[in-house]
Amino acid sequence: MNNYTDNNNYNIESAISSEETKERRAAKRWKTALIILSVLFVLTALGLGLAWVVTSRAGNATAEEYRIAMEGMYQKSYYELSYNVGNMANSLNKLSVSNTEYMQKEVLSNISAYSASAATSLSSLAQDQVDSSKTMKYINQVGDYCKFLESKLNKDEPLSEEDRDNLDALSIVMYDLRDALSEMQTEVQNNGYSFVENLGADDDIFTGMVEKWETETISYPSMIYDGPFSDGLDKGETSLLNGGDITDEEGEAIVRSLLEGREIGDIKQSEGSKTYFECIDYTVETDLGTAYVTLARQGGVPVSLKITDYAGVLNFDSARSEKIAEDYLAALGFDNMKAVWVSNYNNIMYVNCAYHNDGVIFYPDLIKVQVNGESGDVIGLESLTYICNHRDRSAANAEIAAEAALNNVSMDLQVVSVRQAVVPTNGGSETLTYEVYGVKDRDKYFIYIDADSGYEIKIMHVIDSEQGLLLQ
Amino acid sequence: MKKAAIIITMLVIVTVSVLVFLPLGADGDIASAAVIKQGSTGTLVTTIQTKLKRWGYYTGSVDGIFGSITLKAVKYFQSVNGLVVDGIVGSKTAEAMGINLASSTSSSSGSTSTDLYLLAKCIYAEARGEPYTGQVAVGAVVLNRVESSQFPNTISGVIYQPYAFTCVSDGQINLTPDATAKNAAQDALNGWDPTNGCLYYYNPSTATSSWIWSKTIMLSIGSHNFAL
Repeated sequence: MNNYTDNNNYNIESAISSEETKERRAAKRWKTALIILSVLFVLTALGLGLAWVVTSRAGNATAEEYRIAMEGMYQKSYYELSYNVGNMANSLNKLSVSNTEYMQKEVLSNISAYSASAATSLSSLAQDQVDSSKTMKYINQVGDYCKFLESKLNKDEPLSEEDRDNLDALSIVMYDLRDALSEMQTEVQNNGYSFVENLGADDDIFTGMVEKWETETISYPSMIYDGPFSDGLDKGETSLLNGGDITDEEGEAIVRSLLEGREIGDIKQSEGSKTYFECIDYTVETDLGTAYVTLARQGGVPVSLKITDYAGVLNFDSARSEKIAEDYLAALGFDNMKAVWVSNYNNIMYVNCAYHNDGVIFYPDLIKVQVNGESGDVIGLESLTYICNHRDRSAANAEIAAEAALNNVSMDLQVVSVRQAVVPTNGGSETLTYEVYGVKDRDKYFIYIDADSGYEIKIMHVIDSEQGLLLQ
Repeated sequence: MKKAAIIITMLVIVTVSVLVFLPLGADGDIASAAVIKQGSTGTLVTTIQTKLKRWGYYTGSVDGIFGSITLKAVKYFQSVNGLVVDGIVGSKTAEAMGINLASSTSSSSGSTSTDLYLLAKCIYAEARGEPYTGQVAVGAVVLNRVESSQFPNTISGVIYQPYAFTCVSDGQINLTPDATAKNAAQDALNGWDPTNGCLYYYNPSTATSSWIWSKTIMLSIGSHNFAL
C-alpha cells in the first residue's frame, strides 16, 4: 500500500515538475526570442539610420555630388591656369621676333587677355596654407605692362630697346611658371591627384609648388610704366608735407578747427600709424557722436575726419552742400577748392572738391567733404589724394586750342560746356585735357580730350540712379 | 500584459534609434551656415523679434539683439510649430516665420549698388560690433586689394577668393547688412581709408593661417590688426 502511494506521489510530483519545466522552458524560449528580435530591431534601425546619414541629402544634391562638382571646378581652374600661362610665355617669345606694329599690337592684346584669365584661375586655386600674392602680382603686371605697350603703339610710339629687354625677361619668368605647372600635370592626369582631398594636407604637392614660386628669387625686371600696377607708384614723397612734426597743442588746435561749430569733449590722441606717411589719430566725443580725426604728423595737414551721423529729409541740396563744403575747406586754409561733383547717399552729400587756378581744374588735388543733407553739418573729410598730389600749380600751355579739341568730339554729342582740366592717368602721372560736358539722347557725358595730342583719353557717363548721380 | 509591454518597449527602442539621426538634417544647418542664433544682432533679429512679439511668443523689447529672452521665445515658437527646439533660426524655422534668411538684394541699377551691397555684406559679416572706423577699414582693405596687382581685380573676386575671408567660408556673408555696415561701405567706396593702404587684416586671437604673422602690422583698430 505504501509503495503505491509513494509511486503515485512520485508520479504526481514529477508530473507537476515536468509541467513546470515545460512552462519554464517555453517562457525561456520566448524570452530568448524576444531578446534576439529586439536586438535585431535595434540593429536594423541603426543600420537604416546610418545609411540615411551616409546618403544624406543637403539641399538637392548628395554630399558626394558636391565633392565631385568642387573637384571639377578646381581641375578646371588648374587647366585654365596652365593653358593661359603657357600662352603668355609663347606670345612673349613671339614678340621678340615681331617686326611690324600690327602684329605686335595683336600679340600684346592677346597677352593682356591671357593674363586676366590666368589671374582669375589662380585666385580660384587659393590655398589656406600659402599666400600666392607674389605670383598673382607677376601675372597681373605682365598683362598690365602689355596693355601699356599696346597703347604706346596706338599713339605711334614704337617699342623701345628697354621695352624689348623687359619682354624677354618676362618671357623667361613665364616659361618657369609654365614648367612648374606642367610638372604637376603627371600627378593630376595619371596619378589621380585630387585637389579637394588634398585641401589642408600638410604635404600637398600643389601647395608646395606655389610655395616654391613665392619664395624663390625670380629675376624679375622692376616694372615702371604708366599703368595701375606699375612699381613706380610711390605715395610716400609729397611736397605738401614739409616742416617739422607738430606738437600736441598744435595738433589739438587743428582738430578743433576741423570740428568748428561742434560741441566737443576731450580730445584723445591714440597710437599713430604710418603707411604712406606718419599720422596721428584722434578720437573726440561731439554733440553728433564720436568723431575720428587723422592728421599728418609733418605739418599737421588733416588727412581725414569722420563723424557717424544719419540724415532724414533733404534740406541742403547739391548746390547748398557744395557751398558749405567750399566754405569749410576755405576756413581750414585749403585755398581755391571748387566743388566738382556731388553724390547723394541716403541724404548724406558727398562733395568732391578739386583745386582750381587760372581757369584750370586740377583733379588729382582732390578733397572729399561729407555734408549732412538734413542739418547742413560737415561730418566727413578725406584728403589723402590731395596730400599726395598737390603742389604749386599754374596753367600749362595746351598744344591745341579748344576748338580743335572739339573737332574730335562725336557729332552726336550736344556740347554744353568746355574747360581745361588736369586729370590723373592710370599710372599715377597726370595730363592736361579739355573737359567736354555734353548730352546725347538725354544721357550726359564727360569727354576728356588730351590737350596735346587731341585724342580722347577718357569718357565718363553720368548715371541717374537711386544713389543720386553717379559717374561711370 | 507582459507581452504587450515588451512589444511597446521594442517599438520605443526602434523609434528612438531612428529619431536620433533625423535632427542631423532638420534645419538644413549642414548645408547652409546662414543662421540667426543667440549673440546675433541686426535687422534680421529685429524682424524675428517683431514677428514673435506680434504672435505672442516674445515679451522683451525689439532691439535687434538676440539675447536670452529672444532665445526662449524662439524655442517656444519651435515647440509649438513642430520644429526642432534648438533656439536657432535656421532655414526651416525661418520658413515657418515667413522670413528669408538669404539676403535679398536691394534695388540695383548698374554695378555700383551691387558692389556697394556686396561690400556692405562683407563688412557686416567680418566686422559688426567693431568700432565704426574698424568697419570702414575692412571695406578699405577689400578696395585696396582690388587696386593691388597681388589680388583679384574686382570686388567680388577679392571677397570670394577662397580662404581670403572667414565670413565666406562659414556662410556669414549671406547675412543682411545693417545701416552701419552700408554707411561704412559707402565711405570706403568714396575713398575713406583709415588704414592708409593696408592689404591684410586679422584677429590675432583667432587667425589660423601661418603666413599672416609675417606681414608687417601697420595699425590696429578694435580687435583687428591691419598689415601691409
